[in-house]
Amino acid sequence: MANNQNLSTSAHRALAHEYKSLQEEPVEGFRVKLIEDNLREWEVAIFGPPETLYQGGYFKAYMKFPADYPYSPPTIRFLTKVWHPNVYENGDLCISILHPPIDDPQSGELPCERWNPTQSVRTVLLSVISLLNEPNTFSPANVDASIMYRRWKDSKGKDKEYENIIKKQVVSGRLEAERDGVVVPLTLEDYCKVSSTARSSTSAAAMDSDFYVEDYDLDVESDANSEDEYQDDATDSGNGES
Amino acid sequence: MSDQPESFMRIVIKEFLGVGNWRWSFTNDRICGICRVQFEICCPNCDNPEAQCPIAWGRCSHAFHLHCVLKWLDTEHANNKCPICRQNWELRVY
Repeated sequence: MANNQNLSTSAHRALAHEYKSLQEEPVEGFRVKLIEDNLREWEVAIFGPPETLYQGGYFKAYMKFPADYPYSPPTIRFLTKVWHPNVYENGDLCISILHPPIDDPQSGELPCERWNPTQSVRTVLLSVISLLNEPNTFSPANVDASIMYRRWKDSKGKDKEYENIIKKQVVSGRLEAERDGVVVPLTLEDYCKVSSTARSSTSAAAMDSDFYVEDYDLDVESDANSEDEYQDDATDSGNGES
Repeated sequence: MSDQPESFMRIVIKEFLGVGNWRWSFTNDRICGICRVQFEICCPNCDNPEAQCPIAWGRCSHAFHLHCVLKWLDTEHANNKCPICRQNWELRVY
């Protein structure tokens, strides 16, 4: 992994740890993969949340991590065309959670909404998903999209220009998903499914092992006289008979 | 013991190795919020798994690996705030 050489060891470990945990326990609404096995560059696929304009949408984005991650935030650029008040023409995403918490009264962003090292890919992507449907129009990256969104919102959906653009993008996103062989979850149930099955299977496994240990202990207790050999290592070393 | 058949193997334990298990009890969190590694294991900044990697507990009651929180406080944007609650970071000393 020559690509990872310029990454500090702790950033490398933090990213490897997060990547592994996202593979084992995926979170609803997105999937991640590495670009050319480089831990510092991820491709993420974000699914539009059901019961919103974005339902059925498939948005690909590029996530780049700094060498001192998690002390500095990653950046996100959409690869799919996204018409959104907080996404620049070139796809760069503007969201407070990805901004370092410097005091900047001009920005209108509170320090508590900003990056800190306890944030993670998980928390960032969940914020991005909720930002899709609830744009921040106080500091828009795309002014035209922001004005159009306000018009749609203020007219309570009567002015359909914004809605129509989003719907068109959702359709083209779905075509891209088909090309990628990805099934986009459409219902709330499907949206939450992948992660909940993964999660319940891991917790079930954990419970199984706990139960196993408990059963084991009970066994040992009840048959203590006849089955001394079967006691576990810890007890053995305590009772070491010679 | 004496009436056991000859073929029964007798074992004499000459030496044994005890294994202990320990855990910090000062916090409900089992992992450091910065590096997400368990407190009992040294942080990713430590190269040697045997390294002394102390825990730092702030007055705000949040705990991190000392190395992790020092590295954060060293960044230009930390502003001496706890990364979790953003109160001023003040190390608790005992």
